[in-house]
Amino acid sequence: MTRKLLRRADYARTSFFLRPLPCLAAHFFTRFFDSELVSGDGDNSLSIGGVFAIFAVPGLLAPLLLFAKYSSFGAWLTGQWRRMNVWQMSLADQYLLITWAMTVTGIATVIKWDSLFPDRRDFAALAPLPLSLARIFYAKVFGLAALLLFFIIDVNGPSSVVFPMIFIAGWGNFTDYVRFTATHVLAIAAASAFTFLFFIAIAGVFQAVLPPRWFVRASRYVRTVAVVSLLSLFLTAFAVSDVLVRGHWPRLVRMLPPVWFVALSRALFGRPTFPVFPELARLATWSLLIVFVAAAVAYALSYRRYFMKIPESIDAPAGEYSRVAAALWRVIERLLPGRPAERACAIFAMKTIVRSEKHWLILGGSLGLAVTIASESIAGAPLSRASVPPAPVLAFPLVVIFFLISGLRFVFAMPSELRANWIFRTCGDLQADTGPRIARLVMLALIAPFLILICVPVYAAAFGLAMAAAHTMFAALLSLVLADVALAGYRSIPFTCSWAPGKGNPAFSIGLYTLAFFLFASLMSAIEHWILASVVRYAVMAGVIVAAWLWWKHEAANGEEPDAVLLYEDRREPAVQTLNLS
Amino acid sequence: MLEARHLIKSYSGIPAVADVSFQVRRGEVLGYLGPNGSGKSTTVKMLTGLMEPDRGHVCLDGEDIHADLPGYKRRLGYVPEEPNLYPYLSGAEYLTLVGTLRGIGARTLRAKIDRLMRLFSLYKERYAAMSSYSKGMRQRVLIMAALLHDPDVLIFDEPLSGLDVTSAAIFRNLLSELALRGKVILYCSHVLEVVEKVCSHVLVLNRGRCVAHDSIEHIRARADYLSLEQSFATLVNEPDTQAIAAEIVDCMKSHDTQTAAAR
Repeated sequence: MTRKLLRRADYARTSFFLRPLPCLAAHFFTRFFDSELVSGDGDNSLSIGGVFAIFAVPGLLAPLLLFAKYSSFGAWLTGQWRRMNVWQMSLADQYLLITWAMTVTGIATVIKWDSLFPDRRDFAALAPLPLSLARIFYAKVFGLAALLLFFIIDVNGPSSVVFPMIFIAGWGNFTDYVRFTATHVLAIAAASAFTFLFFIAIAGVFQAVLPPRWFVRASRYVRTVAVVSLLSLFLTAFAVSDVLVRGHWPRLVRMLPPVWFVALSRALFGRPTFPVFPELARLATWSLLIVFVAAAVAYALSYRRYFMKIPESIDAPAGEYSRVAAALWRVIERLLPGRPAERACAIFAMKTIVRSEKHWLILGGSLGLAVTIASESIAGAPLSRASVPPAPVLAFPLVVIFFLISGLRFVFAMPSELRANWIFRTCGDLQADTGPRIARLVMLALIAPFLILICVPVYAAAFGLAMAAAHTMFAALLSLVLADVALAGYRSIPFTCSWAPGKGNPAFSIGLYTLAFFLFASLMSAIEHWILASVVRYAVMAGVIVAAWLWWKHEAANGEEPDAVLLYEDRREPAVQTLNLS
Repeated sequence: MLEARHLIKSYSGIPAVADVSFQVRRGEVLGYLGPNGSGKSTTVKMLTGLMEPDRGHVCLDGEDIHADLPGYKRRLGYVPEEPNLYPYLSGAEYLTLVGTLRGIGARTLRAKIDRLMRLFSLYKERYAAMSSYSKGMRQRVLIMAALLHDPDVLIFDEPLSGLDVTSAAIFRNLLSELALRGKVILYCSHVLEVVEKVCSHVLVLNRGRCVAHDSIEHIRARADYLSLEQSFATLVNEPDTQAIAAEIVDCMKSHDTQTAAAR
């Protein structure tokens, strides 16, 4: 009986997906996961399930970390029982969860920006078939809606159940839990939909207004700005948490979209009863309605135009590079140190960063995050014309350098046109140590203009030329050390080696990078603040760092395998490894 | 002389190339033929040093290429089957990268690239991103990249793919010219008419094994065939192509009731 039912269900499912519209919608849905960033072409092999699991984990873990904060037993032990107002306290955490949902949805939409409309492959496959444009359009819309739904459930599902449970457990009843969960889910779904539709509207408007070639060019800048803005929005979760729980929300805070959706949830739930809630809840509703209409109109308007123009467009940034740009690249190549083959590979790597949208987007996001963090640090520093700049001010270039080097290290590992790497494999005398030398050259070639053109003039204007020179030299020395540490074990030419994203331990890597960030930016800026007061201290510290760096290089050179070769395929380690004892 | 000695390569225990041996002398163009999955690409990968054979050797002038692989690669020009290029680089940028990796000096390289791009009718597009190139244009870039450093050994895998009539004619003459200058040339193709015109010898591979290796005249004479195509069909036990074509048309004609109703 069960087997019969299962067979019928399977038959019904198969029959459903064999009909043109569901079949096309399913095709579009799966195509969202078919890219070099998340799967496909052997560059990496994350399945759809893997992608969803990655996004679901933070939403599940974050509320668990709040367990101690809302523990009624803990509050009773510390005598906080009567004074604690969890409904008010939870505003900051709810804001964090809503901001996380908006950031993840936004970044995913921006990354998949190209897939929001049917692309060249879709055109090649679908245009010859007897399918009306309207049917393809509806299938694409259904695919998008399914993606949004899955994303909302995946990113927010676990947190929406666990978060209310944790903070209401000791302080409310089951009805409170159900009511709060419902309003929270509604708010978080509305916030995610708002972000998703907002970027669809932006993409639609750009598609409708710009010629295809200009759209390709403009989209990279728009996407970079979008990623930086989303990351900055996420950082506000830590900046405004105190303000939110106090109840008096300044005008600037009220302009943040996640705040509208927090207010929407609390206006529906009824606790706490801040007077600002109804007004912001209305704003949330109207803004959602407006982006929905804008997205629908922009998408529908641009759809036909875009689909019909696909054959005339090209894949990558526009056709012709200027002669000035070609001459500029030649000048840069001449300025770089090293052997001609290394310089040529470094120029290739720089061109890849500048011209490959996914690499540009990731590095741009990383730098945007750096500038946001560094600016926050400077904004909180005491501003005075002291002879020695305060540590947070000194930290600015270190933060940027840290994110630039770690961002470059990350993007170097992501291949670009992997199948084209045969040219490196079949020509030249590229040895195993050429890879890290090229990578280091690129890192330092990008850091040098930042230090010379931005740091020196800015710090010279604020603290005098001598201080600017001393600070820049210290930052340059630390860059050399960090670049070498970041490239330990690196054995490939940037962008030419296949990527195995599941190979490393993400949790360990995040922990390591966080620790390295605090050591590099916070600790070193504090040390620099101390040594800049005395020439002797400065000289001794510089000497210690140089000695440590040379020791590191010596050890790294000793540890190198004599028969090491350049890697072009980075395979995942097998789940079970033998000890090779026999 | 390029020599393959008893090359054997298996993938997960499944043999792709089983004991293949041949020689290509200077000035000789060897046509390397075989149906899909016969082991041609695997052999080419071994000959270019991209893959090591499980057993056997590839030798150039009597020296195993793996004894000095970088030295061998310096003498090798290779046009792969698929035009896998970096689409965001312009043709000139790509050739500059390849030339620099090959160790050609900057001034000589620029002059060479300019001249080759003119000869291959790509000079006007030299600053254009290769993403905007047609398949034939990409193929021409690959051919230029293979010739840039004046290699002794040339391996062409379907080099005419996507080329227009004029470019294909130029390439056929180029092959003869290169052979006259003493280059060792291996030419892999499915287009037997071209192989018949440009190659002095052919090697036919079937299921990883060499089933014929001789001059075209001898192969044709062996079974009294008029063309290489007929000889090839016999050597690789090609099925009755006409019967299959007829069956395909039959298959096209058969409709289920639902499709018929929809019509």
